[in-house]
Amino acid sequence: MKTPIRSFTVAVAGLDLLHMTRLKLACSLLLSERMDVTVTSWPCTGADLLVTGPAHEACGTTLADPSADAIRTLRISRHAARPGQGVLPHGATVRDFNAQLRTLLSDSEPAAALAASDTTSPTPVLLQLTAADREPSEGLHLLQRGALWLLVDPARHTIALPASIRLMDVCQQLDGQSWSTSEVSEADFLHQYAYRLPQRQSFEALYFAVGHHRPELLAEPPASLRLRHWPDVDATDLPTSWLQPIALLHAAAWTQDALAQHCQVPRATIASLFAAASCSGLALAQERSVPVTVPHLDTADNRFMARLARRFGLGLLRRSVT
Amino acid sequence: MNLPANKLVFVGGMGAGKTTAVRAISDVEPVSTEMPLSEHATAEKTQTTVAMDYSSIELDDGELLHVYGVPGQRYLDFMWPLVCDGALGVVVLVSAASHEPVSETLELLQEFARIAPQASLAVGVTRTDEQPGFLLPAFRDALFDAGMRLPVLRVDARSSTQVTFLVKSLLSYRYARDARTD
Repeated sequence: MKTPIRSFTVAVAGLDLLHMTRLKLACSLLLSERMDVTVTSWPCTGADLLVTGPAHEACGTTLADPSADAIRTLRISRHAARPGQGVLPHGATVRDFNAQLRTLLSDSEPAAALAASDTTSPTPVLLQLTAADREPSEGLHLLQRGALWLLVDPARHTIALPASIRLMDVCQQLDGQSWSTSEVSEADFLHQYAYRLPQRQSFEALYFAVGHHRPELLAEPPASLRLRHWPDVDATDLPTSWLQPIALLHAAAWTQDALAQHCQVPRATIASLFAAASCSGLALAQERSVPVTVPHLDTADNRFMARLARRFGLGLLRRSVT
Repeated sequence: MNLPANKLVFVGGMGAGKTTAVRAISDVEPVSTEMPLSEHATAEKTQTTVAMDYSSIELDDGELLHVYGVPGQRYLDFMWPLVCDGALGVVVLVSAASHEPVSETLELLQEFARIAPQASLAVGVTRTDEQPGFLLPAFRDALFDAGMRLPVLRVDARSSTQVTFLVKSLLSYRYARDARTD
């Protein structure tokens, strides 16, 4: 599976034409590594990185602001002899820029951030705003990180996002530290943002995508449950291997262990499914699971069904297929 | 000799995406009965199915899954029992742009549950990308309130991946139903 394209915003202050041109070239080269970088002028909101030139009069002030906002910086310095962490010498090449950008932006990736942080890292702001146990609210929350914009609509239990963005892409950026949030009115959203965010996804779809792509961000799942409804899931955000467990949970209550054993999928996958169901509010807590028998294959219907499932890449009835 | 349930039926109103869905998952070019629309033609839809679509999917032992697309209009309901005889699954397709998606879907679900009690039912909602106001959980909950608890998924009928995912969901649902009641 391809790594999703991640979007970043790099702000610049005090760069001359030479360095600006090299920076832009370096940014465009990052696209080959599925990093889509937008260059913009400082000051701005939602920047992932600030690049400052040596001659900028307000360099001191410029650097103070991003430090306060925990934005990483890359300085072009006349005093630096060679490239270092966050510093490039005057006249740095496109390759130097490219290497520094890749390092600094990669450091702000969710996976890297998560690995570096301890286990008590805060719940991502998007998951806080979409939590099933959150107090109902009418306001709309606009979220921005780099070039990525989202809208959380708690009243409708949906998020709005750009047409080209998939939930998988959102999951990859969930725990970035540079998300900004603001409340907007319905009228402001319709007037200023609706055309940018035409796609709607339900909280359910979001949580099942998170369960698949970033299960570590979800709360501890219950030991057993049953699904209230068939979840709002999509082929682009969920693998086929989740369908049999979903169907069985839709039909009856199961424990994690029993379901993992029955479906022959890793227990961690089942735990992720349970966590997604629980966080999305679709789980019906069950004291104990109902014993379930495997359908007999001695009928023509079931033998045909087994072959049909195999044709579609499903493992249904596999133990009985001859 | 009893033949296994070996039919998959797509049913839905005009513009729901039946012909497109059948084509998306077929091994061979479907037999279609599309005719030019005499009225209500749009840039996207200039033809409509006047009888049915038929295609097949070959399994590894050479057996065929017969795939049908049948219109959901009442004046064509005489063909529903014929097509549904021996169906293992019926997928009701509904466009999110429909004026009454819930009642339209319910009517078809109730009718096909009666005609084909042996078949498993699922719902695919098409054109959701054109209708940002359409909320699938609310739609699904409305069906549930009317007694229909079944897979309800968004689907792009043009996408083989998404139509296949819907069919896989239906098969998984059928398997779980049998596992529970066997």
